[in-house]
Amino acid sequence: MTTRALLHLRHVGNDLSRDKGVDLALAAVLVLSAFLMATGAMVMERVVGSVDQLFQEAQPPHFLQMHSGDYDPEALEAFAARNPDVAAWLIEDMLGYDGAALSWSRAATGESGDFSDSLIDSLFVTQNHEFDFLLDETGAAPTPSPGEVYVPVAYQQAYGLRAGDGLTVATDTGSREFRIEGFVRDAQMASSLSASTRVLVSEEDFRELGRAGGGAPEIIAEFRLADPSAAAGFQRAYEADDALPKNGQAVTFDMVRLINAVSDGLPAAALVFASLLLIAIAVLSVRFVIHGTLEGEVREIGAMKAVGIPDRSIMGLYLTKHDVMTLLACVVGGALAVAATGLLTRGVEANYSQAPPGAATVLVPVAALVAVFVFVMAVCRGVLGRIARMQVVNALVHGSLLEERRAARRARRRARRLRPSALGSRRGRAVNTRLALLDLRAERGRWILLPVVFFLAAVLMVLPMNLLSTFTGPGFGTYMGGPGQRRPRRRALRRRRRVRARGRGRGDARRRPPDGRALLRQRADGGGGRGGAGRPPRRCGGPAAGRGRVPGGRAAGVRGDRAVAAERRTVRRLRGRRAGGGRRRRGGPPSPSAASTRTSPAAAPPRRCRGRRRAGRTPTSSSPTWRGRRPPARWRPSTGSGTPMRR
Amino acid sequence: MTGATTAQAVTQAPTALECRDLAKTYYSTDPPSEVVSGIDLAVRRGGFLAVMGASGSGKSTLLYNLSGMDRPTGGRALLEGRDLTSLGDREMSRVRLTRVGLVFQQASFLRTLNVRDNILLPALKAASGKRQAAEAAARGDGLMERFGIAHVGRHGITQVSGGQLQRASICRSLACEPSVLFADEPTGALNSSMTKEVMDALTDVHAGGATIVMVTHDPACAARADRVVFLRDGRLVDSREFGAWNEEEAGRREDDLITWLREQGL
Repeated sequence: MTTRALLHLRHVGNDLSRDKGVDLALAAVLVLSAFLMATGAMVMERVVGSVDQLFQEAQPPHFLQMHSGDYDPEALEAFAARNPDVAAWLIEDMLGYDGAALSWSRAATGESGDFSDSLIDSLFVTQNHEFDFLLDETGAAPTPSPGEVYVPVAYQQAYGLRAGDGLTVATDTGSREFRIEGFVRDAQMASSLSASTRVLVSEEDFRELGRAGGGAPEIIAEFRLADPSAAAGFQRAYEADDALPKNGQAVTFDMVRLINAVSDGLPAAALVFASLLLIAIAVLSVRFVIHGTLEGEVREIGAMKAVGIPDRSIMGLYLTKHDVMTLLACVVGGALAVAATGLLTRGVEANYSQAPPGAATVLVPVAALVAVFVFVMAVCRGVLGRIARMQVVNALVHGSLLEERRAARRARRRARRLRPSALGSRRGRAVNTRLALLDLRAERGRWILLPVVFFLAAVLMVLPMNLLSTFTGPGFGTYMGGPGQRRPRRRALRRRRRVRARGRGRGDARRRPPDGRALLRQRADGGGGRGGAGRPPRRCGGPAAGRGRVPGGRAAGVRGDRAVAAERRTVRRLRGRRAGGGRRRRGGPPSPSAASTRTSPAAAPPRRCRGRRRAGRTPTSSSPTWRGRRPPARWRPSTGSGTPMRR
Repeated sequence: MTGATTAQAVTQAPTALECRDLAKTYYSTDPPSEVVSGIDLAVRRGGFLAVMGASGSGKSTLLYNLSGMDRPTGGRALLEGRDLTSLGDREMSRVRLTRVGLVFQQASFLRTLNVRDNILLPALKAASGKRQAAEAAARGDGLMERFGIAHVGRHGITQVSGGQLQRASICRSLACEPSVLFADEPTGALNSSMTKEVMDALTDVHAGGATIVMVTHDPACAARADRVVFLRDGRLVDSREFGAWNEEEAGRREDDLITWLREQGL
């Protein structure tokens, strides 16, 4: 090592040991900034990678249209046939159950429970054969045997379910028992924002459930396109065709991907945001420290400049310390981030897939750390740039960092300020106080750092919490138009009431005025379409899939006549007048969505199911959800204009 | 070499430093203040010039402008025939590093380096390769030995006396082998014994053939110079030649100088 390098090293070592407390505090902030930035970047990369991996394996549709109610399969077939972009298509039949209708048990230990506190609606389906597969942890698409069920990994995580546990589904005609054979990942509904998830059963069991009643039938019309980028145009074409089913949310591949990435990337975004604020604090502090150092050593710097040491070399002497400190902080922060990312992405990998590490896995966090390093160094260089602007004589003789012209400007400015606050003026007689105030004003550039750092620290704590609470609020998904928000809450309430009514005896239910379910049942008895016996499996499309064949049972049920449509409208009106209750979202605190602007559900106007929103569901003390108990204070409706979302 | 022959050699030597109609006005004050003006001065190679005058007469300002630390607002300053006023900041910095040595009243050193490293720092920055750096280090060590501070080379700058620090400052300025050494009241903050240490060192440097320009208030220090100029209100009003320094004539030279200074009204 050369004499020059050794001299530099000795300088850095002595510089670091001179202000240990300050340097340690700075290093801690820098390590934390680098750690959070690298962790955020790594988690984001893992989330995107896992989502992409699952999408690659599960092959979700490029465009899907959810629908409840009647539809014309021939119209769908005709649309698919005349649209050249369609590579494959299918109609997936589903039976939706509220959490209250599902319970689990573990024979070996006697443990049991139900899903009534879950916000997630369980959609029972069978395995697809063309695309949109539900995958187990090995990436295979399981096909359950009769009596077996594969439940989503979200339930496994939320309720600690294990393979071999029993799952009971409450239907209109009694309970149906299943054995949990494994757990599946769902590319469409894996997002934590999703309020629905799919449960996989055999085709025989699906038919049995349909016959048993109690499940709300829905369909998803799914399309795989030859060119996925044409999804938006395809959606416009779909929506322009009046004959196609549209009573539900329409979602494109990119939207599902975005929702997945956003929902599970939120913690990463919060980490990056926190990191940015910490970097701001670190940079302010570094700037303050460097300013202090320059002001304290202005004469030494002046002497170095006077003897002809180049400005760059003088800057290098002061920069090296911060170079070393920031570099070490980035290395330590990066190492900590590797450990933290493993912990933070466990849930993501379980929900989606474990993406194999690639170049991006290394490059993304390294790029994030390099960005932190470069930014901090750029700020340091900017502050140390004053050395180049410093005039030798001013520094050496007057101890001033400013060059002559700026010094003159500052002197004029100070003189203007001093005149009205001269000590000899009549205003105020407390000389010490006035001197202190003058000093504070003159040195505001220094002490202002403290309130700014306090402010940033407060933002650092408050903003991510509020962001997370907004993002996890039930209204957010609706606002985003995500697929998870398509099921109306009133169905869950209705389901719960029905389960309770069943427990009390059917007489109670009969005494109630006829609701939508009763009307539908009457219709089902007469027409035999909805969920009736002989319900066929979904129709598969595609070039070789005999697309569009309409089974008889389904055809009978879907041929919409005016009477049925009128019945449905009545049902909606009746449902719209019923009060609702709050439920807990997946992995979240009790939902405050009920604290909606409408305080009187009875006064609510009838609403259509299209774009079903969950707002306006305010549980009140009279709500059957609480059965005479007063709801918790934070769930009670506000007396003013109301708060639609929890903040 | 005797004092007479040395003086003769200096008068015949080429000009090391020169200024013509040099002026400096500070515009940061209100109104602007003209600190020096109309200065014409030349220093021969190997000469020792002392600049004297009352406080505020412009001695230090003259030195700053002659050494390239500051830029005159009028006139020209030439170092070895090179016009300093025409140089850019980077070139000026390079000239100060390689051709000019500076010693200040307060020796300013980095607290994060020991005495030896502080001395070597500019020389190492001036060196363009490993060999030059090693030579600079050897030169610095030799200077420390010569000025009696080798034993405090590893000391921190707060662990040595003011005289040692000022001698270290002389070592630092000589480590780059400058053509002219400028000293701005180098003994202004020292007691008499330390003053003697520093002046002996400067006299030794001058005896070695170095050109020195020194600003001082102290007649005893100025008596070491072979020429003294007197400034009043920013103008050069008089100058006096003393010839080469001779230890035995120190008392007489000092008395002559004091008499002359009284004549100047100091």
